[in-house]
Formats: sequence, structure tokens, C-alpha cells
Amino acid sequence: MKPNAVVNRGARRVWPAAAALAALVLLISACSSSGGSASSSPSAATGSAGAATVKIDNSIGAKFAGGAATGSAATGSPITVGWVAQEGGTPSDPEADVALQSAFTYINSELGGIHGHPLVISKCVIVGTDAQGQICGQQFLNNSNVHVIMQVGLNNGNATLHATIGGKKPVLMSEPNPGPDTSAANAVGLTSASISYISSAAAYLKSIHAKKIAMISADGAIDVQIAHGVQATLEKAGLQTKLALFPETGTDLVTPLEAAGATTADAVLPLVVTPASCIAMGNAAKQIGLTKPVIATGLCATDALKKALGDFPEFTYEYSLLNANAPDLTGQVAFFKAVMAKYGGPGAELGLDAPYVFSAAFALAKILDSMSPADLNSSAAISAAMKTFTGPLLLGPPTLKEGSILGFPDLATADGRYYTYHGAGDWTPSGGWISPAS
Amino acid sequence: MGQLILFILLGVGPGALIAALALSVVITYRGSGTINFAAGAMATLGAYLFYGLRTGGYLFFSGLKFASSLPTAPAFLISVAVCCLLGLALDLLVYQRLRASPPLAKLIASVGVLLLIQAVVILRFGGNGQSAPSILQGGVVNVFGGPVPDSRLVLLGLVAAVTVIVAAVYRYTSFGLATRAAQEDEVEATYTGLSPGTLSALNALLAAAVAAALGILVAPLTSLDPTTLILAAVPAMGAALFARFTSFGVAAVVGLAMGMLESVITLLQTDSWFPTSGGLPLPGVSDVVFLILIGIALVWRGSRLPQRGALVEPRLPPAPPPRLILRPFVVLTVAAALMLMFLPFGFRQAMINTLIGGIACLSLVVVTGYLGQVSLLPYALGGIAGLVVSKLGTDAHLGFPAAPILGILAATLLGVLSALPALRVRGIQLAILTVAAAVAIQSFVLNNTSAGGGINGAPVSSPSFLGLSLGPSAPFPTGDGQLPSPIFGLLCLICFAVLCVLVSLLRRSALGHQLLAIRSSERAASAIGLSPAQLKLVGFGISSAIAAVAGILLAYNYGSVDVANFDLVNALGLVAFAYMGGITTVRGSIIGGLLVTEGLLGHYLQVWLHVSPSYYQLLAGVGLLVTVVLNPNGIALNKPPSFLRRRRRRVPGVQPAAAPTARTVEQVTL
Repeated sequence: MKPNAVVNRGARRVWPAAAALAALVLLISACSSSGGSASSSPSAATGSAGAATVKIDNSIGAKFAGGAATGSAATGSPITVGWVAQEGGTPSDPEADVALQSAFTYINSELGGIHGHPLVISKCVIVGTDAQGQICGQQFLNNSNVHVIMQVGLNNGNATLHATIGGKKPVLMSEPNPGPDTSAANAVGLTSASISYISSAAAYLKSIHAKKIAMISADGAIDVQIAHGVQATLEKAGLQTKLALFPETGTDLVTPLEAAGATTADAVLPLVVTPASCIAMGNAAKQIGLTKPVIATGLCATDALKKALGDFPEFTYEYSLLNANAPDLTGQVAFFKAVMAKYGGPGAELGLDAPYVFSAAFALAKILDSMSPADLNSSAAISAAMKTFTGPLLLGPPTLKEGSILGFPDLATADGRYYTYHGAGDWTPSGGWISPAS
Repeated sequence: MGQLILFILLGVGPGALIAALALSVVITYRGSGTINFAAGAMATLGAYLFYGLRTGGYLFFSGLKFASSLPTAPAFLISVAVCCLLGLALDLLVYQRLRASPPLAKLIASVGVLLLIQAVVILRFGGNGQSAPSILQGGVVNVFGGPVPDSRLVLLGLVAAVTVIVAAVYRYTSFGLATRAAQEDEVEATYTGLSPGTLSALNALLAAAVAAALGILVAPLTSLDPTTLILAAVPAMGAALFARFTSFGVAAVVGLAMGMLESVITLLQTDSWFPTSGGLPLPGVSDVVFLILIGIALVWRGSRLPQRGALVEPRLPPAPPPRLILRPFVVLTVAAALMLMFLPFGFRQAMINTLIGGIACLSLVVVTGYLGQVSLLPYALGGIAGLVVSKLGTDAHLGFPAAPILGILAATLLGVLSALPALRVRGIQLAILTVAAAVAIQSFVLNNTSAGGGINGAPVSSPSFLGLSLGPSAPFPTGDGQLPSPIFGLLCLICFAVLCVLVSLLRRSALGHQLLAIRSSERAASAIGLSPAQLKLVGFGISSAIAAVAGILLAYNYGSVDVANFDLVNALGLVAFAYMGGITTVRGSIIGGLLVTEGLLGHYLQVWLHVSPSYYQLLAGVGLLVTVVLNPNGIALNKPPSFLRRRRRRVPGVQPAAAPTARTVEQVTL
């Protein structure tokens, strides 16, 4: 056989090969849809059997969203809310969209919407690029029906989103990250998520008499910023710290834990928030038999982590909202679960970004409800109401004040609270909210 | 000293992963001459298959359920077997069909496989992590006061055993002998009755088995997610380079050493003497160390790196000279300008993204298409140029056009410096060095909180010239008045059109012919008095200057320089888009621009076809594979549709571009 004949024969088979490849891929993608992708439509599961038995305390809904608990549906012209979600890449937070849709559907169906107007979502997805953040900004800026924008905790695209919007329309952030989120014009961050470590960790660590703290953090710009803030606060409070950074793309946390002296420190502070790194932290602690108190962020205590490791690691978790897994006397957690069960469908994720976005949806409703109906089409009026919103925040601290947190002008609070997990569903709250002042 | 030994042992975990992937890369290279960027993706797939079978008894898709959960041994064997089949299928359907294509085409195909596997994993399991089921159960060994999970030591033994077995197979079996023969010279191997195709398939199967098996074993040490194992392929490439893509022992040892080195650097950064940035340990030190080591390996062993004796001599696609330059560009530019001014804002932004992407593709046309050097660095240099513009604006209050000019000069200088290793090495080895350089620039410079973009990105003010604002939010008299401003689109269009004309003229010029002569044969070029070193420096310089324009426009577009825009994934994506479009022609860069993320094609998919952005990566992977397989020369060199061909007029003295061959287009006039 002549050498070139192999190639020519191969060339003639290119089309069938390509067709086979394309068919394979289409089959794979079709199977992926039927196999249960991570994102789900909340409306599809509204009528589930479990949902019918859930009792929702509408007085809580009315307290945090405004309006009256009449049980009547909104019938007026819609109020369009721009919604920036992060889905389809790494990380991906489809639960945020489920939570927002559940909250809005509940407010529209059972609280009569905002002055009788239903809230509707105009959604823009960032998969993982800055270009998508810019496009979302342009989309909402150029849409005359959108007067206010909501934003999930974005890992990508938030800089271009805020740069494009440029303060022309107000942005309400459920859990802002340090950087563009906390310094953007005309934006308010309702919770502090991982940033609340900065203000509350020192007080909590002192309360458990820890003096030597081992800290680990990824070396990404945002992670490093948080780590720097936490380390400075702890050392200012007289605590001794040792910080080890690990590559942003690496999740072998055994080495940084040992480099930070985790086995000899009084407490370990892993500044990790993504599900992958939270799982890696749980695995690493198990691998080296870590017995020291570990103070992780509540963002780690997700259903995904529990499923992955069999149970939550027995750490103490820092929350900037109430812990949905722990006992709660206020009834807010039960309300959250009931609304999610009815409108989010069975198996809806209750951790990660879900409670933050759910809480922010009620805050937005409350802000809009406090305004005159004539002002609902005015971005400037919504912006003014947003900036003067002082709470209370559903699932969150009782009072808020934008601009009260040093170094993070857009944050309305940096309060945090701590829960210790003892295994088998046993959670112990360590007390109330710890605010920067204390 | 005790602590040092402790951290060296702790580094065995990540080191084993790098070593395993390096073994897989070497096996693939020996079998088919492919630099397989998808080795990490295969390890990821193996780990996810095992996860599904162990935890839910299903084979990746919940519809393919066997039981509530499978025991470890059958789950392991099934997972590895499926990966072997996939590796075999990919070799038959993709890599073997690219045997006559240049190594770059195979590399691009492996990037396509990587994108495809990652996309399918994300669509099926989501972008977040899972906890991989552990096979290597065990306790903890105390070493110099620190606990070391003994699973790492077991893993070290396993990697050593696999290395010895694979090395023995290739040394002592007839299969190994045949593979070595085919690697040396496929033609001779064919004459002795060996089938390079069969050998390639068997090696692909073995490479997939090694990657998947060790992926399953290593994943529990970290976390199972769609990124970590995939990106470990970058240092694995470095380890394979040290091994000259031949020695399994060297690949494994260097891979382990890289993991150990990274572990030791993690320890050292907690010391007070370790250099800091913004009060915290300097980021990206391990990436820089890897870059230096790879650079040393290349410079030291560059001339001895093996070139595969291929059955069909692979060549880069032809680079035909443009038949017409001025008229088509005037027509296209006017048409694009009208569209920028009068079409809706979404289209306008997509067009701006296309124009900037097209400029970035042009930089690759010069360095790869004309000069024949595979470099993934231009995009990172674009980031550096943007950073220079930002720093000049904030620190020296220099604006447009002085700051961009200085930014272009800085990137050009760096580009020329980056060409120095290219004086000793070429082709795919150079590509790997530039991958390491791109990673190092990203993590060490752009990600630096003080010198780089930092947390907010480095701010860049909107350009203005003689009082006329040219930025994305500048006012413009016509159109819908919505963002982005058409005037910024026109600025991008002018830059793109001018660069297109210049690059086209370069192809026709004596310098262009000389660059192509270097691409064809450096020895032949030297024999007729050309200086390969000088021409390489010139080519890299021109390419870097063009990339700098793209980086600066991107910075103006976003109002800041963000490290994420210039990372390795984006650099690989750019090379892929440029290759799909046609990396040897200006027309190809226009098509490449259309294909870039959030370019006109993406806009069309989203707005008109309502395709969710979640499926872009899947489509990109499939599109890349299908294009590379069907048309390895790129879309631009494909025959135009018949209705266009009929209308085309012959231009006297110029050969039609429809039927160029590698030899005719590379005949040079010197």
C-alpha cells in the first residue's frame, strides 16, 4: 500500500467520522438533560405532593416583604427586575435562580406583589467571562423596563458589570465579593458573606480562647484580599496567625494546612468558599486527623457538601444569615424552607447562594413596597429607597446601614454568627450576631 | 531539614497526579505524535465515571443505572474500560485523521477534546465539586512531627510500579519495539509490515487507561471537580518535555519532583523572608519556577528533542498571498461601519468583541501562520500592554495615544525577549514553553495585588483624542443612543482594518517571503543567507505588537485589565479560534474573530437560536473537533460556495487562491 493511500482513504471517511462524532455528542448532551442537570425549573415542580402539605406563615412574609398577607395574587402591570445569575461554568449557582423565582412567585401569589404589581425577572447569565458581565450591564441599562438590578455573588464578570452600569441603575447584591462589588457606584450589598469573617472572626476566636490561628487561603486576588483583611484584624486583636496560600486551581489542602501549622495551632481558619474547596477541606482534615477547632464559612455547609462527605464536617461555621440547618426560634428558617418547598420544588438546594438570594428578594420587595407606586418606574427613587433601607433582613441581622463598614462602602452589614456542628444533625449556635463594633 | 522532608512527602499527592498525566502524554506522543492537552480531561472523566458507579451505580448518566452502587473493583474496571474505549474512538475518529496535519492541528484537536469532556461533565454534574470515593483507605504516618496520609505513600508506590511496567512494556515487548520503530520512522515501520494506525490506536488506549486509572486514585486526595485534574496537564507537559516525550522514568520522576517542589514552596511562603506583595506572600512563585525549569530544559536539550519520523510529512496549512487587498477591505470596512452605527446594541457589542478577537487572531497569523512558530503567549502580552496603559494612566497621567503607544512598545519588547528560546527550539516544544510562560505571567504579574490588576482589575480610562471621546460610553450622533457607543466600535474597526491591510502587505512583501522561508526550512533559509534568529525576533515582535493592540482595546472595552481575560484557557481558546478560521491568512483571522466568545456567532446563537450560554463550551468543543477533522487548513482556505466562485473574476498574474498547495504557496522569491 502506498503511504499516501492511507491518508486519502482516511480523507474520504472524514464525513462519516464527523457525523458519528456529532451524533455521539448530541447523544451525550441529550442524556445530560435527561440525566438531571444541576439546574432545574422551579415552576415545574410547584405542584409536588410535598408542597401541598407545607404551611407557610404569611405574617413573616408580610413582615419582611411588606404588603398584606391577604393571600391574593398580584394582577397589575409587572415590575421588571434585572437579574444577573452565574450558571453553566465553574462555579455555577443554579440554586440562586430557583430561590429568586420561588421568592418572587410567593410574593406575587400570596402577598399581592408590590402595590398589586407582580415582580418579574429579566435574567442574564454569566457563565464565566468578563464579556458576559458587560453584556448583562448593557442589556439592563438599555432596557427601559428595568429600573433595578439584582445580582448573585459573582465570581466572574462583576467588574465589567458594574463598570458598564456605572451607577445609572441601582444594583442590589445578595452577597457581594470584595472588590468591584463592594465599591461600585449605586450598589448595595445586603450581606457580607465571607467578608463577615473579617469583622467577626477575632471576637469569636477570643471567645473560645484561641491564640494561635492557622489560616489557609487560595491565592486568587479576591481570596487574598479577604485573607489579608482577616489576618490584619486577628493580629490587631492580639492573635498570632500563620497563613499559607495554595494555588487557586489546586485543591490539595493537606500541604497548606500543615504549612500553616494546623496540627499545632489552637484553631484553624480555612478561607475557602467554593463547594470544591470546601469538600477538599473536609477531606484534608479527615486525612490528617485534624482535631483542632476548624472555623469554616457557612457557605461551605451546603447539601452538596453533606452529600459528598456523608455528613457535614464537625466544624464551627460562620454565617452571615441564619443557619437553615440549625434550630431557629424566629420562624424565619421554617418560613424559608416552606416557601422553597412549595415553590422551589422537592430537593431544592437550601444552602450555598439560595438563602442569600431569597433574603435579598424579600428585601427588594420591602424596599419597593415602601415607595410610592408612582415612583416604581424611577431608578433614582428606587436607589434612594435602597440606600435608606435599614432592615430587618429576612434570615439576616436586624439592622442594616449602607456605608457603615470601613473599607467596604457598599456593604450594609458585616455581622456574622457562629454555629458548631456535632454530627448527626446536632447544631449549637454560639450566640447572637457579632457585629464589627463588638 | 525534618520539615523539608515532611513537605517533600506531602508533595507526593499532587506530584503523582502530574507524573501520571506526564506518563499518559508521553505514551500518546510515542503512539501518534500528538501533544495531548486532554490527558487531564481523561483523568477527570475516569474519576467521574468511577464516582457515578460507586455512589449511584450508574454509568455517568443516571439513565444507565446498574445497581444502587457498584463495588470498588468492578466500578474501577468499568470506568477505565470506558475511558479506554473513548481514547480509542478519539484516536480513530480524530487523531488518525490528522496524521497529515501539522502538530498544531493535533494539539488543537486535543484542546477540542478537553473542552468537550469538561463541558459534558459540567452539564451532567454541575460546575461545583464532589467528593471522590476513595480506594486508597488508610491512616496517617507521622514524619518529623507532621502527619502524612499513608495513601500518598501508597500512591507513590503505584506510580512507580506503573512507570516500571510501562517502561518495560515499551522496552521488552514486540508492541513496545514496534511503537518505538514507528516513532523513529513511520515509513520504515510501514515497509516492515507494521501499521502506524494500529500502533497509534493501541497507544491511545493505553494512555487513556493510565490517565483514567491514576485519575481515579488521585481524585480523592483533592476534590472531584471539572477543573483541577484538567489543569494539571500543564505541569505534566513540562515533565514530558524534560523526558523528551520519550522516557517514562524521567517523566514520572520530574512530575513527582514538580509536586514536591510546589509543596516545599507552600512551606517556604510562610517564612518571614519570603518575598511579599501587598503584605502577603508573592503569588505564582511555583509557576515561575516551573517556567524557568522548562526553559532550562528546552535550551539545554532543545536541539536534541526528537522530531517524529512521520509517514506523511506534516506541514502547516498553506499561506496564499491575498489576491486583492484594498478593495475588499474598503468595502468590508464601510459595511461594518454602517452596521456599527445602525444595528442594535447587542449586535454592536458582539461586533466589537469580534473585531478585538480578530486583531488577536492576526497576531497568531504572523507568528504561527507566516513564521511557523507555535506561541500561546501573545494574549498574555496583550494583558501586559493593557496593564502598562493602566499604570501610565494612573501613575503618570498619560492617556491616548501616548499610553497605548508605550504599551505596544513594552509588549513588543517582551515579545522579542520571549522569542529567545525560539532561537533554539521550535514547533510544539515552543508551544509548551509559551503555555508555561502564559501561566506564569497570569499568576505572577497580572494577578499580583501590587504590580498587576489585583482585586478590582487595573483601571483604564476611556480614550479621548483632541477632545473627542472614543470610549464605549462616548456620545454619538446617530443610532439608538444605547451602549456601547458606535464610536468605540469604529475605533476598533479602524485598528482591525489597518492591521489587516498591513498583515496582508506583509505577506506580499520580501519580509513576508523570508518569514515563510523560515517556516518551510530554517536550514534552507540559512543556506541562502537568511538569518533565522533575526527573522524570528522580527516575527515575534510584530506579532506581539498586534496582540498588544488587542489587549489595549480589550482594556478600553472593559474599563480595566482583569487577569481572567488573559488566562491560559482564553489563550488556548484564541489559538483554537484562529486555527479554525485559518491561521495562515488574514481572512482566517476575520473568521476567527466571528467565532470568539461573545462574538457575532455567539450573539447569533443566543439571540436568534436561543441557545443557552451553558452550551457554548459544548458547541465550541464539537465545532473545534469537526472543523479540525474536516478542514485542518481552516475555514478560510476551504472552497467558497459555488455561487461565490462563479462571480469571481480572474486577476491577471495572480493564481486563484481556491487551489493552493503547500509547495506552491511556499515558493519564495528571495
